[in-house]
This record gives sequence, structure tokens and C-alpha cells, in this order.
Amino acid sequence: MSALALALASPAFACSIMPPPPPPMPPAGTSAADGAALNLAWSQAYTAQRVAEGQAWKLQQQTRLFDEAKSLVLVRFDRQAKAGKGDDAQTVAVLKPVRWVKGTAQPIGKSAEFQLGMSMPPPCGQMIGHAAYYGQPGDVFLVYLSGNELKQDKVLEAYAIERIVEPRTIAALMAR
Amino acid sequence: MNTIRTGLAALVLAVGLAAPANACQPPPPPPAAPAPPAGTSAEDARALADVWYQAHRTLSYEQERQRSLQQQTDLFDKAGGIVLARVASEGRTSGYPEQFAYMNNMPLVMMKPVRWLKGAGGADEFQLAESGGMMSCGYGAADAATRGQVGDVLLVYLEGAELRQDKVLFTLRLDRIIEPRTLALLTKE
Repeated sequence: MSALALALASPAFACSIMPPPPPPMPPAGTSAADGAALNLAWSQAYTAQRVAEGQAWKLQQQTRLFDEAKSLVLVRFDRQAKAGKGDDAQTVAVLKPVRWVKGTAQPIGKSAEFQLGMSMPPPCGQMIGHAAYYGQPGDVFLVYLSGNELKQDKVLEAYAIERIVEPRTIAALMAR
Repeated sequence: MNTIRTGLAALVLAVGLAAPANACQPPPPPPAAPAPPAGTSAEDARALADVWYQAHRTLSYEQERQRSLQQQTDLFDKAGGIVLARVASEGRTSGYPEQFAYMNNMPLVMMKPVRWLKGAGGADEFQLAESGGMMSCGYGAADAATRGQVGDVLLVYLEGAELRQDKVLFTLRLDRIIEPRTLALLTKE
């Protein structure tokens, strides 16, 4: 296999973001000012299309997660801590549940908290709960769980609140 | 006397609220976040309030996006002509007689058609001034253009193929366009 083929097959290549294609050439005889206007229009429309695709993908993900998750819980980032000993020691994010949005509510109080450690990211993405793991004290996240327990192996995903766009989730967050 | 004064104040308030200008007022601030359950710690209460306001912002943003999308969908369907045009020069209106003096010294732009997306019309420059086609809230159909600068590129929605101010349905800056058919035409080679 050639070096080029190997390079193309490498994960790094598969993960790289492709630059946008250049705008089409304006018709022959187009003035410089009109050509610049056409380029600008094309670029802005192209960007708007990609933004719309991104939004649609985000909505699809959150719809799937809302349906799949048995529980949704709001947590706030409390602190970073060390967990484990020796070679197994790792940095974890300590998250405190604030409100159960879906599923059977578990205790919320001073003692309730759970630890989110690092996990293996997919080839072209971020690890589960990336944003929450790297949060700051006071940041709030929505954690999607496959069960009713606040345990790392039950975490399907964790998103910052400003990322949430799915209507049922928004409605649940606003429910009094 | 106090009763009359109170009555007048109520009348002025009622007329004021009923006036079209009331529709132009900015949206009211969001309602207060619901009170947290009793016994909630201050940190948790702050977190709950943050979540509620962020969800409210997201909801408002989505409602506004839907309103823009509907407006652009309606414009796309209704317009007989849609032309991509750039602001070629800026100026000020002048020459109105005394009784219309208020229409002098208003922003004015010369628009150069660059490409017709829908319909087919001319390529000659045409004038848009900030006095025509006044719509609700004091916002004119051509304002996105007349409040622009040389080099700005806009979409001009027209009744047909005539490049005349009184045929302009609306003007929109390119960064406002979200309607899929319009975007498809703008990226068509």
C-alpha cells in the first residue's frame, strides 16, 4: 500500500474538516464589484446551509437521546477531584444533581454527587460528557442516562444547557 | 379634580396602548424563573434559574427563527422577481416641495442588480430611498438597503421584474437569509 493510501486511510485524515469549496467563477465579463458581490452571496448562503445542517443534526441527536434515555438529570459542576490510587488514579469531574427532568427522581441534597471520568472518544468525536468533564464550577449540564442511577457507565451523553434545542427537552427544562 | 386627572391618565394610557406604536415596542423581559423547591441550596437555586432563563432564550430564539423563515417563505412565493443587488452608491433625498419637506434628506442608495434569482429583469441601477413602502413599526420595505453601505449585497423582493421602489416588497441582508429554496438558488452554479 502506498504512503498516500496509508495517509488517506488514517483516522487523522478522516477527522479533518474539509475546507469549503471555492465559489463558482462568475460569468465572463462580470465586473470586479459584481464578481465580489456574487462571491459574497455564494459564501454566505453556503455557510447558512451548513449551519442549518448542523442544527438539524443537533436536533436529531437530541431527539434520539431524549427517546433513548430513561432519565435526564440537571447537574452542576462542583469541582475536580482525584479518584483511584496509584496507576489507576485519574482526574474526575464531580457533578451534583440539581433536578431530575425525566425518569424516577433520585435524592438531591448536599451528599448527592457523582463522578464523571474520562472515557475513550470515538475515532472522530469527543468522549461522552466531554463538556461536563471539562466544566467549571457553577456550569450546568443536562445528563442523559440509560437508567435511573447516576453512574458513569449509565451516562449516554452530557450537554451544556445552551446546546439544548430539542423542543420536548426545552419544555421539560421550563416545566414548573 | 383628582378623579378627572386619574380618568385622563387612564384614557391617555389606554390610547397609548391601543396605538400602532405599541406593537413596535421591544418584547417584554422574560417572566421570573419559578421559585426553587423549599430547602434548595443557593447554588442549586442559581443553577435552576440559569437553566430556566437559558431555555427561555432558546425558545424565544427559535420562535424568532420560525417567524423569519415564514416571512422569507411568503416573500419567495409572493415575489414575481427576486434580484441580488449591491449598494453602488449612497446619497440623500432632495427636491421635495415644502409640504413634503420631511421627505428630504432621507437616506438613499443606488442599487446595482447583480443576478436575478427569480424572474428576469434589467441590469441598470435603480434607486431606493427611505421613505417608501412604510410597513408596521416604522420599518420600510427598502430599509435594509437604504441603511446599508456601498458594497453591501442584498436580496430585493419585487412584485415583478420592474426595478422600481414602488414595486419592492422587501429587502433583506444576505446574512438574514435562511429559507432553503432561496439558499439553494444563491449557491446554484
